[in-house]
Amino acid sequence: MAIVGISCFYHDAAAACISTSGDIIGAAQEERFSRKRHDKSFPSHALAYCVLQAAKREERIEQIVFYENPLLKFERILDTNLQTAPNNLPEFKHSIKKWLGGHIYQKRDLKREILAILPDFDIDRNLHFAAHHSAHAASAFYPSPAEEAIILTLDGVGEYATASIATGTNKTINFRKELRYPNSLGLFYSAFTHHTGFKVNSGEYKMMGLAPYGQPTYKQRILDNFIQINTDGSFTLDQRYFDHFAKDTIINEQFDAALGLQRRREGDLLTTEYADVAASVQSVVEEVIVKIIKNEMQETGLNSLCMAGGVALNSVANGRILKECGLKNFWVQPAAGDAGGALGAAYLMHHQILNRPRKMSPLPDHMQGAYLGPEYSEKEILDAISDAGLEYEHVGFDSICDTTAELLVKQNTVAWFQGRMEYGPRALGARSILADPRSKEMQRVLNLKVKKRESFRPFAPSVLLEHASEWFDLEVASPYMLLVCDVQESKLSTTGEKTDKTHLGPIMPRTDHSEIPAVTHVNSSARIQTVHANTAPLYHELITKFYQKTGCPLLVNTSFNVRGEPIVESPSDAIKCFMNTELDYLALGPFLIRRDIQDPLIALRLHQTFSPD
Amino acid sequence: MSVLTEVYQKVLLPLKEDSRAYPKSEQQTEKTTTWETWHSHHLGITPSTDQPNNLLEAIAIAERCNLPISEHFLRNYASLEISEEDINADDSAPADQLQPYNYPTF
Repeated sequence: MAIVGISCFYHDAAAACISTSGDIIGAAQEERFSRKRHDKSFPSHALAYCVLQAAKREERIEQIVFYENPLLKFERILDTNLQTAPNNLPEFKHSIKKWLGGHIYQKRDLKREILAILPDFDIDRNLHFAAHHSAHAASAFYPSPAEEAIILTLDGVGEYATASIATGTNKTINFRKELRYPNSLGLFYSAFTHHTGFKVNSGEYKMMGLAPYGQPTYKQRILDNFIQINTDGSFTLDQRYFDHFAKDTIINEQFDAALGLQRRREGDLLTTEYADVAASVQSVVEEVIVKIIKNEMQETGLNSLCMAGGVALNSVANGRILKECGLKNFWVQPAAGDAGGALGAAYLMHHQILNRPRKMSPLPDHMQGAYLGPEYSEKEILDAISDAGLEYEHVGFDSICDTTAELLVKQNTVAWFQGRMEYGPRALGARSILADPRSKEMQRVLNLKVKKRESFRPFAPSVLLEHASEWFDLEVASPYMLLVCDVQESKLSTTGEKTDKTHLGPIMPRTDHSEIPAVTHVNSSARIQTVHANTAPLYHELITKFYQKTGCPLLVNTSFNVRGEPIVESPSDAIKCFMNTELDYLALGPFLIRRDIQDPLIALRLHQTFSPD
Repeated sequence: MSVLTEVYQKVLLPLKEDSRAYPKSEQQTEKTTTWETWHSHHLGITPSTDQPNNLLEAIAIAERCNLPISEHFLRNYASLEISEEDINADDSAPADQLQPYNYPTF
């Protein structure tokens, strides 16, 4: 009797399924199936996938849990509207139209959608609602390897809570305290994301990647004007500068004056002033998080931490936590954003309501490397190749790693589609684009010719776990690419020119400062994925082959998509994406497809466009 | 007057003066916020019966679940007999349709 968790209607809809025995048998985001980035609609495809996964184990869906409480959220929306009345008619209209027009009746919509897929499901008895931060906390603790830990959740906002602290012991989570809207670290970060000219809810990664190009010269101004931080990490945002109800903006017209810098419009030149803002905000956010954790370690006497919520995807902050807090164990849910709420909601039902025991996780944890999505058979892949009319070579699984490694050594870019799709925002070697990290040209090539995105954005390395500490200042595993740390000094070049960070020119990446420039950020850091033989055997074998040929145990790993496109899910998605880029090869299961020998008409036929994010 | 402006004028603003529904936690710009006790509504998982299918259910559940603002708001809103379609069809009329009125500020 399996349990399904569902998150949807705001952003990043997803479904996740837990078996009777407590194994995660499927989890996926709806955007991968619908091909709409950050799709928030009901996750029909993801739910159908979960039902299918349960059926393979001869399990029926017993309970379904929605990841938050809509009526409680409505109370908060009204609460805020009351506080700002009578000067908030436009904001009231914007928010209340959505709620009276349907949001408060989400149960009705959920019932309709669920019954369309599971017509025999006893919906009146077996549909439940979790609280947003409870779901995040459960997603952080239950699949982690920790028997006992502090649980910290940080995001924009759920119902009322924007942050929560709990302690987990075996299968019990004791929720202790929370910060409430409008004091939100997630919304604070998003406000500056908007100011820097990126889109809220998708541009936060970009701002994090921009920060190392700048200096925290705006930090004091931010502390003086926008946020007051207490010693225990709690904080107050000065609401004179924020407008959380305004559509997709978050900030008001006083914000720019208080910061002393005009908001950058999308498409405007990205100069170091904005990098300085990004560096400043990043520093403030890190300071808050570190204070919270240190205070909780002192209060509880615990030295293990589990984290979730969108802010937990800030891998730079995670790196600083690891460095400064003295934690013995630190684990972050790979689907830390709202998509992960689906998994947490299912876990809450499993342990707290049905009282099922918690199995302690095989190392590194219970997430199975986050490879929890669909996979495709050799026949299904071959059908997709044939449907597209592509020339291909059947290399076979025995040789695909060696052949691909050789192509990478020869400076080809390779799209790599193997096994089950990842759950969460990161591509971890199942739906990835790979390249040689030693190349000085690769960052530019990948950003502009392949990914079609901003040139300043860094790429991340996938490194064999066994060799990670030789190349990076990292003593722990980082299987989900959620930790940023420094490249080892021995791998850095002393001959490269220093970047001039004082001028206000355009942001440009460096290429001359490391043995692995394609994955070394401007400040000599890197966002690491450690690759484990037990969770990702084929990917581990590929990197091992590359290591044997080059002495370099890592690859550039970026998600298999172009700007604005969700990561590919199916072989058909993979083929379309591949044929719309300048990638050289596609390793699709045991098949290898070379782009420059294909009929150009196929690329025209498969042409697709996505709105930039 | 547009539907949403009518709702604002006839439902939200009077509610602001209603002491029963007065906000529990005022929006504070001067006073320092600290950690608060975990909200009682967050405990555990709520059953499906704590979520509405329609407006009348929403009022009843808000009352039962001690959501005072929602309860008062929805009760007054129901008296206007505005349909979900009317709300969805609203085309955001300009704010100047709002009648001037003196409301207390915090």
